[in-house]
Amino acid sequence: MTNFIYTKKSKFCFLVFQNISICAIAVCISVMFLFSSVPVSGIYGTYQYGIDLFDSSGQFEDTDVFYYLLSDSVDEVVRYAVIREQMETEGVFDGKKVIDIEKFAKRYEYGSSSGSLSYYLEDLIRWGQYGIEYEESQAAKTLFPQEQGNLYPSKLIERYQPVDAESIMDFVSEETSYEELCGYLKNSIESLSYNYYQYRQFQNIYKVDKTNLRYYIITGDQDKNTSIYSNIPGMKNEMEAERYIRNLGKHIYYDAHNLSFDTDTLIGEEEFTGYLNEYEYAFTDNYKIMIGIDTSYPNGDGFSNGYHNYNTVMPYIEPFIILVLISVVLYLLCFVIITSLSGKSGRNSMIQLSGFDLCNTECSVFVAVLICSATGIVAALSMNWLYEVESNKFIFIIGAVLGILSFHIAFMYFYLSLVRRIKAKTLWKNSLIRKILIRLVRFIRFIFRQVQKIFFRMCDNGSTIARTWIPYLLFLFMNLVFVLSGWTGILIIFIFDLLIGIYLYSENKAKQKIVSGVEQIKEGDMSCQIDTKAMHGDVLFLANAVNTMGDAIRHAVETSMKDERLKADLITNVSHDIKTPLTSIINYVNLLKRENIEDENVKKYIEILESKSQRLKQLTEDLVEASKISSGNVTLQITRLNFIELLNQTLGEFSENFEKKNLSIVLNVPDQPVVIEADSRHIWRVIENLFKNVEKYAMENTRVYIDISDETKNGEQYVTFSVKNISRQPLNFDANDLTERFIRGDVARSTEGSGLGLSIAKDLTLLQGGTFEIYLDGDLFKIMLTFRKMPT
Amino acid sequence: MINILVCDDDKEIVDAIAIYLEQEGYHIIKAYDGEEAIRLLKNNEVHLLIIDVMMPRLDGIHATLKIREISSIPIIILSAKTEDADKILGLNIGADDYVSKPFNPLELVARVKSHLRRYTKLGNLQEDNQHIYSVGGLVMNDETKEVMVDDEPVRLTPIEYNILLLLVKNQGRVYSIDQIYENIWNEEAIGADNTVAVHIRHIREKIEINPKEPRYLKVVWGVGYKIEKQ
Repeated sequence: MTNFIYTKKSKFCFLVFQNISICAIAVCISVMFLFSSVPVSGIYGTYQYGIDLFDSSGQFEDTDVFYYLLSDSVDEVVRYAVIREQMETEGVFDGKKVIDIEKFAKRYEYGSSSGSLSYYLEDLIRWGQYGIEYEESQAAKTLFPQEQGNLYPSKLIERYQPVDAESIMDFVSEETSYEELCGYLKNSIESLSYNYYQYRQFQNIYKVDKTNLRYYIITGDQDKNTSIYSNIPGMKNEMEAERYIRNLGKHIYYDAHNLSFDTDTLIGEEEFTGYLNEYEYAFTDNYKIMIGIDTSYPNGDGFSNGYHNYNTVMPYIEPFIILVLISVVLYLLCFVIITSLSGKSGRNSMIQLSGFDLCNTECSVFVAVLICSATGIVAALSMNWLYEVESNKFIFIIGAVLGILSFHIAFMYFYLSLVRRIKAKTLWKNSLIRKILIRLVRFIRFIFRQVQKIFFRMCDNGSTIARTWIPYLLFLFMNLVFVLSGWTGILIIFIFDLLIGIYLYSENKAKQKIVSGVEQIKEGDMSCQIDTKAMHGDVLFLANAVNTMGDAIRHAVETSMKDERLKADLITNVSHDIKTPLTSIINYVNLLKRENIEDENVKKYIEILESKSQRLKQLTEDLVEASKISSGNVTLQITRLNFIELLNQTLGEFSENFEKKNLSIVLNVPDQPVVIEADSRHIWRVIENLFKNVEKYAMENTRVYIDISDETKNGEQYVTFSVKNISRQPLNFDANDLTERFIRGDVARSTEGSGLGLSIAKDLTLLQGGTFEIYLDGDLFKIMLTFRKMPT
Repeated sequence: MINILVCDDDKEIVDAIAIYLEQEGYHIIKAYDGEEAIRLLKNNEVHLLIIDVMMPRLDGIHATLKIREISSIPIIILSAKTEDADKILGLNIGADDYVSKPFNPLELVARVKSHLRRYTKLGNLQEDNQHIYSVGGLVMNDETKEVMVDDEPVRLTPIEYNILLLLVKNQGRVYSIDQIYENIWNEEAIGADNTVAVHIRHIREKIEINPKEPRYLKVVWGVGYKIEKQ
């Protein structure tokens, strides 16, 4: 079970779950997003208001969105009323309406101006649509040579004439100049043409069958000369309109005259009057504004959109949020599980890296960022495009899910790769930065080493520089100075250089002495002492050090030789002391044998006594011999001898012993004599010991291979003698142990012999300048001797 | 009656030697140090001396030196010292034989017999007979094909006899295996063979008291065999 979750199937399942969760989240969020946004078409184009999904008002009319929509609408309606006043007569657009441009331009200023220059409204609007143009004329310049000639160097082209006049010039008076009149005209044209544009839009937006907002605005001056602006058809009087509006659902009622403000919306009186303040000139003391919202929303506008969306989304908001939360939890759970499983195929398995994981860290990060951001950007752009273009919400949701899913898959792919890298600890290992750093460090080290080498080659340490280069430079300098100072100087420097030459010679001679002394010590002459007479400085120090070291080595060698000799002496003396009682034992055992003994047991006991006393004898003799040989206390009489002759002689001695054990000898020797230099008795002892070893330890009824062969090594000729046999007992020990004294093949030491045979053979071989090697291979026991071959 | 003086500070060894030699019919005089040995030697007619080296009061070496001033009897040194130097020293100061402890009593008896025979019969040999060759106690009569070691006949095979005769005739000369083979078999020696070596060993076993320490037929390892010139 635990292993199942590491399989590919389970990992795939977790990934699917995770992707389902992310899809659910995407669906929920896009649905909530879609239904929480309220598109509104106003005079400034279409824009969105978002429903606060956590608003617990319960009623659309109590939400902030409604409040914002209403605020915007109130602001617009107030403006619309003002513009209508400018454009209309008796509620209808009146192109022939006469506009006093000075009055209009100064409408924000308190107090009326005299005014006289007037145009028809339609002329001004048209003028505005066409554009205001000036002409450069000599006449204008000559006309106003000094007066702000730079500001208005040109004359306005009068496209339309004022009412009842030919030209603006007719109205130029003491109070108002031509330029002022032109300014007023320009201002009026621009404002009115812009207002006209808005007027047309408002007219469209606040048509009674297009909006759910109803307004009824009464403006009037002190003279009770009132005008009514409304989009409520069929209202006979103010009272009826008020009643109508109050019944609509939501309303704002404001009476400027009585300063009464009444509303059931969130808009306060202060805010409301704030909207009016801008248009103080239009709203004098005596006006009433009534605005209502038909909460049955018969017409499609921002309010109805908001209401519709609000009522669509709000009942489902709680399940949606719960769904999102569950999805998020599920998603995170899957995320954690996948993260921990990633790369593993078992609980304790190695982290497995797939193709992409092996890429360079930096490259993969770059690729990951590139692909993730590309996917993200494509998804975001397509969602935006869908949102703008596609009215079908379902398609938008599908698009959103697909976009988020593709982004998420890309993200997870790279994320899991990253996780595996971190787990396998290859994130840093595979990184380009690391490689570069390593190269850099290597390079720096290399440079450093090179510099160090060069530096050390130049000078090994500071004191050497001080003692060689500085005197040398001084020497050169002195030479230069004296040579330049004429003949006397040259003579002086000649003597000086000669002295230095003598000094260098003596120095070198002393060094040569030390070298030869060291050479002698190396050759083994420990007693060599370097004559330190006439030496000084470093050379004396060196010579003394060599002498001391030589002494120490000699002392150590002497001590160790003395110790070895003492040991040999000790063994010899002890064995002497053993031999005397042993002689008695052997003699009396022999005497006992001569007695007429009938008892078989006693005979057996005597046999044992005899064999053991003989063994003790052999042991003491071997012991003495071994200790003598290993302490080097042996005199050698080196002669030339024929190894093959020796081998045949020895085989003659052993032939019957081998026959007894049924050991057949297989000889492989050259026909020609093989001459070596050795002590004949000692070499016999070596071969004898090897054969004794074969006799004692070789498996019965087997073959024994004896070879003599020539061998050339490093230009020298050698004779190799080898004996191979099959051991009777398993060779469960190290080859080196065999030549250690007292160590024998059979650990129990039950068989005959002292265990010193091979040790003696080895020591004797080495003493005669040969080599002695033992090889063990399974039951194969092989001994190899080599000696220098001599010419026959 | 032949008197043999046995001198060793170890009483048991002296007793054992006495038993062996008395069984051979010799009369034994026992001494336990060098001075006693010299005293007994002066007071008795002694035909052979067996003396130990390491003894209290006067050791065997000094005792031998003193005895040689007054007597020429065969002296066998008996010692636990087995080194070559000791043997050479012992033989140089006048001893006739050197037997290492622990010794084989039968070997000692054989040596005693050999020395006594040579001592008592020396000079009686008929050197004029051309067919008789002798080296120490070894006598070969080429006419009768008899071989005597210390007056005891030894039975040799014809090949063994021929080999021994070759070596005895050329005393002091070393013969290699091939040379012996070519001389005896009258054939060219082809390759290595240990036949000769086996025969030599058999000869040694027959004529030597201790074949491992031969008195007559000596092995020069790696070179050949020879009969030491005496």
